[in-house]
Amino acid sequence: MKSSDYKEIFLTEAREYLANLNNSLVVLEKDPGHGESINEIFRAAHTIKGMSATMGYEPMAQLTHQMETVLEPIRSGVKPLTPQLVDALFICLDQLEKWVNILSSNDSLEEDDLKATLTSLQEASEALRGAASPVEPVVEVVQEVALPFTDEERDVISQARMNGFSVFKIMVELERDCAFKEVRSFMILKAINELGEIVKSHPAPQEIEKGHFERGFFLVVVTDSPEEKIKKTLTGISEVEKVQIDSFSPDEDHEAVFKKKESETPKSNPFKVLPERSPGRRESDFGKTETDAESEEPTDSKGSTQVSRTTGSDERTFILPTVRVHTSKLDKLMALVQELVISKIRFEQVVHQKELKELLDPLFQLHHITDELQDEIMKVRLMPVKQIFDRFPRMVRDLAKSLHKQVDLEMDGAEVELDRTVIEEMSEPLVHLLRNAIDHGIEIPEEREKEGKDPAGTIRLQAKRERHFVILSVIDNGRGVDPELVRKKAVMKGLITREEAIRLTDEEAVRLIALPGFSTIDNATEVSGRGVGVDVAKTKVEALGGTFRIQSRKGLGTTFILRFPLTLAIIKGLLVKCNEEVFVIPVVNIIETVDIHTDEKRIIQQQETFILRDEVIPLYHLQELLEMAIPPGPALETGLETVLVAEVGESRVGILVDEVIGQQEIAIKSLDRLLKGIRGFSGATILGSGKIALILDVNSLIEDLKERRFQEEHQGIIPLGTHEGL
Amino acid sequence: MSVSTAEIFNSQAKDKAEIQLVVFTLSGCELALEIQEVREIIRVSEITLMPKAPKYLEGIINLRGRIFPVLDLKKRFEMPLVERTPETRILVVETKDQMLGLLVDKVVEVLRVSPTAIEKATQPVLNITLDFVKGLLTVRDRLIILFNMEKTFNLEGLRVVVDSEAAIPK
Repeated sequence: MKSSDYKEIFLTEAREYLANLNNSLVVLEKDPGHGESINEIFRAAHTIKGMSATMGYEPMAQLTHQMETVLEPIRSGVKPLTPQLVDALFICLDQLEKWVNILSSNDSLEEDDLKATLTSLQEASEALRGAASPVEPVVEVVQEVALPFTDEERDVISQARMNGFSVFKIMVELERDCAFKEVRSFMILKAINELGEIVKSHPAPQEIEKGHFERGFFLVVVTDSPEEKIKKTLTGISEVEKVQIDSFSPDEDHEAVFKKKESETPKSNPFKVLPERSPGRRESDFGKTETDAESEEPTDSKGSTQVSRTTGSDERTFILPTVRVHTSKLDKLMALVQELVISKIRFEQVVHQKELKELLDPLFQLHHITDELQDEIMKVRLMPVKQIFDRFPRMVRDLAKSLHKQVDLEMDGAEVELDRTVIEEMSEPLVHLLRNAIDHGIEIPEEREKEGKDPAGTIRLQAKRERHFVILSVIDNGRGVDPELVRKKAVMKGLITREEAIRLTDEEAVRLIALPGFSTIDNATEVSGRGVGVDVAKTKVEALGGTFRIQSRKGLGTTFILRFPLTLAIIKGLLVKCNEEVFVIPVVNIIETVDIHTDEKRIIQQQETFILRDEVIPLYHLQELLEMAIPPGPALETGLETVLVAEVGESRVGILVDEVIGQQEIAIKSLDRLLKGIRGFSGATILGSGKIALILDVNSLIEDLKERRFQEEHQGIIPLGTHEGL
Repeated sequence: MSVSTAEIFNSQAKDKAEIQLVVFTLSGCELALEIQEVREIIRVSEITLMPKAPKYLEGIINLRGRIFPVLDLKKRFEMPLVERTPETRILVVETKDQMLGLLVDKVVEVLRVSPTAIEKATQPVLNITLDFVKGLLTVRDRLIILFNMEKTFNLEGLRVVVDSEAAIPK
């Protein structure tokens, strides 16, 4: 491993610990007596201290050390937690986060920022001075561990001995301050696997690899290497404090008994197996674990993508059951599967065209295999939404505080899994919606009390699966949206006319808040209210092929409902023709296709429209949306034109296309970066013919057209103005 | 990222190495890219129209799963247009994370030259503005323009839209 690899691990882990710290602090602020959270914070700070010291990030180590010092009296219950201290801890956290971010691009830290942060911490802890020293914990020492063998393991051992291999019991102990247990243990296991085979270990190999042990672990190894060589190899690994190798005696037939030879009694038992944080995962059936003063946090590798690894031919060979895979490799795999799906579709087309009956059977099989492969890879790419949810408690807390509001954030369904891409993309819209809820939704406590509500508002963030969709909701019990106010604002801002405003139902009026440039709060605040939040969220959701809904009752609160397809990689698309070019519109966006007669078109306020079941629907030519020339002359002889009725946000629009070719499963390929800037296309796909077809993002195409029309209308005025100026 | 001509002079002159140039034509005018800038040269298959793009963006192509734009520089530099012939090629160039095809009338040859033979341009050559010209090379009676490929990743129409995209999140 290179030092940059260590840094990578350091950063990943540090971020995890910081997220934990953040969440625990938020809990602690609400419930200062929450012992679990204090311990959590203490442990996280301690671990970060150790890690950063090893990496040579001195300021981080110093700061976390100070945090520990300040927290100690609180942990031992000598002093209560003050709000001032919580704030100071938040400041420390922010500083740590800042450093972690700096480290991701730099290799070292400046100490400048340390002083200011330390001062605030120092001030906060002034009041806590004179705390009693922590209680000495009881230390119990285990010097003997017995590992019972299974029948199979016994077989392996006797087989190996018969074939002239040696069997060793190895105890490895890491240095007390070893900050990279995960790395060291990995290196140790790897080294041993090169020299021989691990038959048995305590704790289990995967636990060792994750660093879930106090300071040491036990291994039973079958090898043809001499004891000396093993010892030399292992002691050569840094941060390994002690290696004890004993040969295995035949009478240890049923279990391996490890005895510590040293005379001095260790202060703490290095071979303690640490409890796993997530409950119910591991039950240790041996190893008498006991309490210890220096309870080290287990390094937990959650959050990293893990894939099961297929074991080799010899199942007795110890192989780690998981591997870390870089996400770029997953993306590559996904891309390859997409290529496979495309090839399969082409293949199918040829077979059907040429009526190659004998190929139908193998083709059917191929179809199933690709389907399954696609499913599996999709699953590998899933991540729990917890990944983004974790950031929110802190954000909500800070925001509510700065606006002098009280907000409880409730989160449901953090375990729901979503495609990695969707998760990444969804983070920002959710931030906008939460901000919106805190800023515009939740009232200040006095106002809430007047309304007979709990002074603290509640925001619920929910994730749930519904067949092939995931639904995210942001629900607040704040003041809700006043449809009357919205109508007035929209007219004032020129977004709709007075007549339109009157015609709108309350429900429709509420939806107006998602229009670009809309904000009901008169003074745009720093937080939101620039009219971008809801609009941005809606645009993003729709660009991802999802739908966005708003429900609100005045005085009762507002709910935003975001619904997405589980995967973004392969979707159903409608193929349409426009000036002989083929384009794809995602089927989720389309409600129906209808043929209309040319005379059915009406022009209302310079906008072509038609009426579908009493609803006036604006019509757009696809050519117009794509800035292509509209072919002159009448449409078809029949006078019929094809209209796709699409759902754009909360309203419906009609899109005139030359021809609908049909519906097809399509694999979405992203466009290269230079093309991403051209608005209106969410990607492209390769058709059965091998041609590229662009996937249209109807929503932004229509927005763009409206903007162009607006500019055209005003362009006539601007040059005149400049002329007058001359 | 970009290696300036001066740097080429320095590094190459030291070990007296030659540089290799891929020479191509646009409306009869000869231009060249350094060989390491050209990822590959492909024949023109079907180019798909990209709506809403600047005029000089000829369209998009799919090369082994990557979809990227092809530019017709003749349109950009307002050079006389030439019909596509069997000799028309696409030079695929690549920077860190972007790929681009350049539509050229013909790939003439790969030329080995000494870096010292490259002169600095002082004024626009034909319609090609100075910032696109890395240097000039005279080989007998031929004038070859050493083209600044990096610039094509930053052309007006494309650059502007990329910027506006970045501005959306606000």
